[in-house]
Amino acid sequence: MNFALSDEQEFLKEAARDALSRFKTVEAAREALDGGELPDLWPTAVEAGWPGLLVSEANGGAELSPLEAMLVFEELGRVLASVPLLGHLPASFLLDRGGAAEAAAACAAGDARAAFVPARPPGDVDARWTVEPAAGLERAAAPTLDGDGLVTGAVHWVPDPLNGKRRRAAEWRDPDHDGRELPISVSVPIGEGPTGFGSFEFWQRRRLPLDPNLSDALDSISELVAEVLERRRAEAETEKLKNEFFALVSHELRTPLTSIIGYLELILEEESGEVADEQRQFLTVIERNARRLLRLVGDLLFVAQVEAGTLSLERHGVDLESVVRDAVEAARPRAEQAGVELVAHTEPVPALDGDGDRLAQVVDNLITNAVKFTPAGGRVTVRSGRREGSVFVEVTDTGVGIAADEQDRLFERFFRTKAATEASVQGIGLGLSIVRAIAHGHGGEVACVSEEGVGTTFTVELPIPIHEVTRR
Amino acid sequence: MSDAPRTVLVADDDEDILQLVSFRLERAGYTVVTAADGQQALAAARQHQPDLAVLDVMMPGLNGYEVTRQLRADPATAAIPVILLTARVQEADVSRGFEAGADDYLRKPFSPQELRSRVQAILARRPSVT
Repeated sequence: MNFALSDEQEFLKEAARDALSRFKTVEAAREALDGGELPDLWPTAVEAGWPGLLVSEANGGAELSPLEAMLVFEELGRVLASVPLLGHLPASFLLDRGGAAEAAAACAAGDARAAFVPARPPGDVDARWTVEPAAGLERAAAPTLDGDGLVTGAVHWVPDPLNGKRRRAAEWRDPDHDGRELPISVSVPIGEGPTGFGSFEFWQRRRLPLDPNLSDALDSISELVAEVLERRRAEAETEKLKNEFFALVSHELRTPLTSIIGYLELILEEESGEVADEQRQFLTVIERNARRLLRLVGDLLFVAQVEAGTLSLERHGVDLESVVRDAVEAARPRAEQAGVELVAHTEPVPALDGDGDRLAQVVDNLITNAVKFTPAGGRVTVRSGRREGSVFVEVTDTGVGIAADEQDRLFERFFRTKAATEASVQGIGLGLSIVRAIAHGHGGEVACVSEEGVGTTFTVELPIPIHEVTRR
Repeated sequence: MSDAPRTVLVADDDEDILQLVSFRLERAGYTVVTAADGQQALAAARQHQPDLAVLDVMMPGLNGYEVTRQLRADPATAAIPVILLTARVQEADVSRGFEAGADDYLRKPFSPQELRSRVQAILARRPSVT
């Protein structure tokens, strides 16, 4: 159905408005209508007896200001213009199609006149329904219909949970239905307290008796949403506490370790006098363990940063070959101590856009692991070079290997293999998760191939910057 | 350029680290002025006009960032280079230091070589004022 005004109707409406703008009161307007001063269409409405009713309904029975009167009559003009089309349709049908105003017009035409009743007072309205009568608040589009709560079409105001003010319901329009107003809302509070988290509002074109099933469903939804929001709030709070905690831990653990290591270094450098061999040996044990503790703190903080998504890489041109060579040299004393042969085969590769310290950590973790899990007499081979669009670092050992059913879980935080636990190899299961996090942070990947009793190969692949790829 | 020893202001609320850094710098041939907190550091900077300030970030009252900002805001101390000492590891902390006007930063724990080379590098950029 199309309720657009024809040119003629538009003209009549304009004429009616012009005419009405001269009147101070509704009565004056009515007299003018009675006196035939207005276009032919208007007396029809007056005879139907509803303009006055509408006006007084809309204004709580009081007289309207000239402006308000004009606005109401303008609305009437629009409604009236539709009457020829609507006269034969029952009001309920029209309301089913969302046309409160059109239904009012139908009523005016005599089809549903008995349906005009005052809106319920606010106190009588089901708390879930925030519909309120429009009187005195804003012009009415149409009177309220149906005392049994079947349908209401009044423009009304609802509390806006966002700013506590009231907002006109008819601001909402149905884009699927000619952009017509959606004057009815169901508001479901979410959360406890006077405002809680706010409320769900459902907007529709007509009012229906509240279905208990729907009501229950809405209540469940609101409870669910409140739960989710409450959890989010708690999570955000936890996240904040966690970050503060790690910042504190970072500071509180590193500061004493700085002193421990710093003063040990002073003693070992014999700044305070000669150090006997045995003393040196014992002090070296202290220093090694202090550094181990420091490393552990660093690893835990690193994992926490990855978790919190606050890990940041300080990227600049990195020469991977020298990173690998340095890591191999740093690990050499440990390998020798363990009786493991450490071999490096590296080749120059293009500069990477990466974090040198973090990449060194990757290589170091892999070599450290390989040495730890390789029995004396075994060998650890470190290779690095270029493969298509990426560079790789590969650490191969002739160690104990990793059971097939454990390989999938290797990169999980705090995962330790049975072999590691049984042989009480030092570690808390963070090294490989850190390797993977750093590789991923560089857009790369890490993979593992292993056979029990034969050995293991870890391969890290990192992308080469695109301008380097094309330079080959 | 004069051969007079350069003066370095060191500020840290942790007495042990204050002594450790001071000792290392004295051994490296610098004259060291110490401060136990941010307020003292500001006062010492104005009084002694050091060639360099090594400031701990986490100090009660005025932290290292704030001290750096106030040094920069005062024409009498604006030119003093600043190295921040931080036990924190986040990159955000580092960039915050540079925003405050620091010239360099040093992460705790630092090796004595690291401390020496950072201090030397910054002082080399700057002609001696004494």
